Amino acid sequence: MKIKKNTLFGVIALLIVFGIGFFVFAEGKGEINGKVISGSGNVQIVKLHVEGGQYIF
Amino acid sequence: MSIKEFTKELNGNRVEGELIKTILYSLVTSFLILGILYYFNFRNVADFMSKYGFFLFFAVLSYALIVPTIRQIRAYQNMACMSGMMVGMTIGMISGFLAGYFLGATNGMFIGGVFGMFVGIVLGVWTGSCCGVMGSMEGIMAGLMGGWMGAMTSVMLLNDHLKLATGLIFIVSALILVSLNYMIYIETKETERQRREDHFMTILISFILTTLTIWLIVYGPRSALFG
Repeated sequence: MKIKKNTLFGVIALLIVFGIGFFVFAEGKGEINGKVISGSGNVQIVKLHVEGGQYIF
Repeated sequence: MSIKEFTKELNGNRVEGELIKTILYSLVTSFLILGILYYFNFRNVADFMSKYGFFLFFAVLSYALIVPTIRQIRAYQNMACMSGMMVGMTIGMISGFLAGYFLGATNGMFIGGVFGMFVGIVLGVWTGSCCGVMGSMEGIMAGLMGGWMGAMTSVMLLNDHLKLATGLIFIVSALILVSLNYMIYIETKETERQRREDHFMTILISFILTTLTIWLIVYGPRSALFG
């Protein structure tokens, strides 16, 4: 069976994306923001207030 | 039907037949740079993968979709005014929005907005110039709006499902870019290809965009939110 050249390129591209995606998703399960005080899953709570036009954590 | 013809042309001899190969070249270039920098340097940066890996991954995927569109536009060089304006606007807006979004999510709104605006305007003007000054102007306007809008969106989403939104925004942006490929095909299918080129520009654009993004995400200035 003859495989078209671009089909092969497409399959290789998908394999690269899924392979590296798997590595990134497996390694990267930390918080997005360093100043999180609580929260779970995708939602994070950061305590802050405004003082003199600036955010204070 | 045109969609069938377009799908068929993805394996054909015109520039559309090189789009998938261009995606692959861009992906390989960007992931190689990321891999080399990670192995030799960023492995030692605390929480590099958990903090930045997700956004860098999607940034690389986004650039891999933007670069083939640039190649397709360069192949035809000249377009009608309306098509050129659409090209400038779409490339300027989507590239600016995505670049600003990813940087805004890791560094804050200022640097995200500036970088998104810069990427959006440069690519928007460059691609929009295929129809003259109107396309270039569309590129400037779309780059300005897209860049700041992307950074603002990610900062506003920081405490509300940012990662999920990233996936959704990427899917919609990918759909828009594929639609643009289709539109360019429809507009130019009767015309001859004006320029034949190798993949040097693909590799160069991917290299510049990925390196700049990585460098700014890791070493760039941060807002108070990211302290």
